Amino acid sequence: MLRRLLDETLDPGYEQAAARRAGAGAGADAAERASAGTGLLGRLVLAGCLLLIGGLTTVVITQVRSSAPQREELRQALIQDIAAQRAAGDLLQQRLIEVRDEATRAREELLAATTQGQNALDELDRAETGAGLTTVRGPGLAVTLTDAPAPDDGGENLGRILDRDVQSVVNELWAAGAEAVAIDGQRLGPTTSIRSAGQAILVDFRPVTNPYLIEAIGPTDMFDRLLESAAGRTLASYASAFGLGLDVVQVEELQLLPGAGAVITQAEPARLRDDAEEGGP
Amino acid sequence: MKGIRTGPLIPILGLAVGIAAGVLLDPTVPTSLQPYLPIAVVAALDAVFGGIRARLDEIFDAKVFVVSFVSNVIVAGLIVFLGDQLGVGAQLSTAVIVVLGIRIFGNVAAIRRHLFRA
Repeated sequence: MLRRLLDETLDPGYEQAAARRAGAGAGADAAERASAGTGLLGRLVLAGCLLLIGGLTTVVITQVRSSAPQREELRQALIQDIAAQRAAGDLLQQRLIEVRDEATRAREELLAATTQGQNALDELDRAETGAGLTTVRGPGLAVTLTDAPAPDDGGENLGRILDRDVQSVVNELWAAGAEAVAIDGQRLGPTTSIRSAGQAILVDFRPVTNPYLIEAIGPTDMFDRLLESAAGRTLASYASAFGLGLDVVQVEELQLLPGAGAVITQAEPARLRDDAEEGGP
Repeated sequence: MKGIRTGPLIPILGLAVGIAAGVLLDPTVPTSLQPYLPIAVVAALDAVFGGIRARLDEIFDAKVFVVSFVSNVIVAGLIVFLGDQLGVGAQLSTAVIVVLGIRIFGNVAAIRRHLFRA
């Protein structure tokens, strides 16, 4: 079957028609000549067919050409949508921080009056710092991870920063005594996730981009402990092997803004619930 | 022989008018037909190259050409349509393109042998 497909590229109808004409003899009549494409009618029909073919081809070509910019427009529109939604999200986050500040201030005013309240406040402060809900200041480290430049041959970039790399640096920072950590200005809380989705790295489902700046506030020996840690050494060897950028600097004064905090869906404060039950009818 | 020398004029004129009409009128194709058009064009090209080769073989026949063109386009469209209904539209399109592509190649090779004797 394949042999037939490759050998018989010409429609067998042509040969059959030629054989028929030969059979009809030299004195072929006008109708036969018309069908052979020599008569005026035959040529007109042929012209009509070719007209159709030419029109069809140009229409398809223009269609394909015009649909490419449409796709690009759609992509741009989607990018704009994303940017707008992100800006709206940022605004809401800003508002959340403001409202929380107000709530904190009101709470402090109320609790500061009594010793019991004072104790509760101290405990709250510690918990909130741990949860990354307060602005903190202090000496620390700035770790910058940069993707290796894309290889010239267009192959896979082995020196791309992965979520694992960011995770290991953050984990080592916590282990080295960091009190507050932020990635690209996004504060890490107790439930923060660092994951990759396709090519992008997401911190709490918000994308962070190359170069990745990890800031941490903590004791001064964090620098040495990070560089001597297993993750630090691994990254340093990646840096020399694949050309990814690893840059650790000590910073005198860092300021880390509060994060969005964890969304609590299942847990509820026990004390309030007791109160509610007691206060109920 | 007279037919062969003056013959191509009207069909070529038709082709030129068709291209001009496609460019100038810029007709919009219904969305439901859009997936079948590229296949139809490849099928039509197959018929065209088959016709040119037949002409050089001096066995060209307008009736055969018209019938092969129309049936090529319709059958190619139908196969793709059927494939879409069965969920293998992309694969069947590929199959149609491959078969037609082989035929176009074979015919163009024959035309080249006619024209350059090589």
